[in-house]
Amino acid sequence: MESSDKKGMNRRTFIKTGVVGTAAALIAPPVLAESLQKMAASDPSPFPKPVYRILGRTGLKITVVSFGAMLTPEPEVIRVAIEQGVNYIDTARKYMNGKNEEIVGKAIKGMRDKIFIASKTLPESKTKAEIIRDVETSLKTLGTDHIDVIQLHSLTDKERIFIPETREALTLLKKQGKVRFCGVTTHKNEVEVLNALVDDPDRFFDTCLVKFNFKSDKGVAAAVKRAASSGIGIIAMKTQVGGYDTTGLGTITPHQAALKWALQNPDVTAAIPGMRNMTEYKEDIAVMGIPFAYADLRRLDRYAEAIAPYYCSFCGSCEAGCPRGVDISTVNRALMYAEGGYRDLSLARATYAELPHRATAASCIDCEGCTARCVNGLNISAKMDRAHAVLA
Amino acid sequence: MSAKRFMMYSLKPVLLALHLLLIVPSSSQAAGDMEKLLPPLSCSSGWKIEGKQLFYDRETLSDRINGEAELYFPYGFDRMAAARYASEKINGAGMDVEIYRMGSQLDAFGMYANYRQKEGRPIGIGAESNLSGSQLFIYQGHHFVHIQMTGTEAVVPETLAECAQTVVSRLPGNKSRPPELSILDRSEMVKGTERYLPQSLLGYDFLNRGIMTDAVVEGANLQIFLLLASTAESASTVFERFRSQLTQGKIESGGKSATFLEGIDSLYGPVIILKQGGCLAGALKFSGNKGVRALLESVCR
Repeated sequence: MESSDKKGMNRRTFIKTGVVGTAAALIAPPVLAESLQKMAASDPSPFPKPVYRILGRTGLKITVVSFGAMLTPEPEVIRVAIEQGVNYIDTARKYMNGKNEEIVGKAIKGMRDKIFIASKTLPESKTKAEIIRDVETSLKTLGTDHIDVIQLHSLTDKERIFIPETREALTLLKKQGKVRFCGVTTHKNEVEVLNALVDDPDRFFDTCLVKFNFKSDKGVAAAVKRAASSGIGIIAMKTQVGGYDTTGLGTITPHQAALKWALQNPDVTAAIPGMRNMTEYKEDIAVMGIPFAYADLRRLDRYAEAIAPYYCSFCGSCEAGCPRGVDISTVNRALMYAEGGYRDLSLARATYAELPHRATAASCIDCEGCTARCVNGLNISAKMDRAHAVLA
Repeated sequence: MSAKRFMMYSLKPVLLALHLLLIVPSSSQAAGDMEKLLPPLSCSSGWKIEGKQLFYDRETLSDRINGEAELYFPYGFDRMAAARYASEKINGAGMDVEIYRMGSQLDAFGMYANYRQKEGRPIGIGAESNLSGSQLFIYQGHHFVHIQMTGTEAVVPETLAECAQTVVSRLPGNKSRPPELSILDRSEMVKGTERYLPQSLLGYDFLNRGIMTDAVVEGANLQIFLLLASTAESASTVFERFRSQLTQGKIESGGKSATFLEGIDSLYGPVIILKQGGCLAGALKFSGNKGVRALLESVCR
């Protein structure tokens, strides 16, 4: 189910009434309100209309692009998102040892009724006392009297779904009105976790925040579908596969395409990309309401092709074929730091410098023919030449 | 079946076995010199190592801390060593020690500042330390250390401190703070609020490598930021970028190559920015601007 509120308004009207109105009312200093009014009058915002879907059996109507706050250093960025209509903010007790909840708490001040808050108990918490302690601490740090979705953090199998003490604590917290719905998060063994939620006869957990992206295998997609069909609200994370920096890959910008790929799936209610700054926020939010197109598919294909020549899994299999004992995987890793997503030449050089000279690509210079072979088809000789040129 | 296909089929299991044999387990892949940093047997009296030491690098850190790993990468995270020390007296109690090697002393401070708790207290170990509840955060040299006691409600701060002392004594580097922070050693700055952000200062992608702190000028609270290691050229670029997004932006010469920019930022309201040579500093979240320019000038001096 998908809907776009404020129908009948054009973008400019929405901005003026929704954004500026909210900002003017809620951000107290008149000078700021005035400046926002001027901004809206002179410069139509690029922000799209919010698009909503229903989060499974919780019935919560949340924006398809919601806010993953984990990497956001300043509350003001989150606050802008809320003013623009983003209404689901995801944080966790664990992030920055609770400081991320503190940032979210500052961001939502005065706007609690406009948003849904999702947080997570500590991954190691299992007992009744631990779960209650985590939620109470989160409530205090967030400055709110309830959390809309509390999630068990980072499940790697089905075991924690069925711990009686955990359920007892969550049931009590629900009765007290301190949490509304319960969910889980999973980055690993997603299929087992999703299936366990569905097969749970008590239907205890209502949502699953799951790693789901264009690299996920079909098994995960099938489990997501099954879970969504049984009423579990599915929120996708890691949709941009870690958000690789692609500045070195020409005009290929796969982040929006990757986000659209996840959202094209009707079983996914929303995604929560992490947003460090306004640029990332604008890039992500612009996806709302835009369908996944053939061009996006091509973009993702090109991205996969573009990174393929650079992608070394550091398995070290090739090293057995090198008579000079070059530490090929470490050389490749150093090269990846320099030219891959990290773009960190100093780290690359430091990593390279840790190698004994004989294990560096310098040993390849007068080698007559490279006999090392990569199981993934990488041209090792070319990589070593490149590494020597960049890192020596 | 062609000879080529026959070779492929017959060699496949051999290659697969070779591949599996040569894959180094991720937990030991990145050990390097980090092996020496963790206490090999005991961290605190009565707390003995349980299981193996584990090591992570940039490719494997998320195996341990999931997406939170992304917080560490901009700070030049290189490697992490982890071990659990179990109590001999309290069943199930343990101390998890994690040592992260970051890109620089300033990066290690940056991570520490991200985790430091307002209600925490220093315990005089490492360059700085912060103990709150069952957790202890420390940095020294390029290393950021996190120690957490779990499995017991009876957390003894002295035990955590003893473990921290054991760990820190094995770390290279001295107890000094990053020299970049000395700029903030002024009476107006609020101690314990300094932060270092390698990117996206104030939530803007054009503001990178900067420090921020709370300050009090003429009795009024505000925040100060300062870009690090900027050249006159890069400071000018950032200054112009900032100017272009402000409303009511007004530029005034401050003399001696100093240029002030006052305006309204869409996220923070009124801001004052000073560019002086390669120095770019700014103030925000202030209620009155009395004394703000003078403070920025002293920061850039």
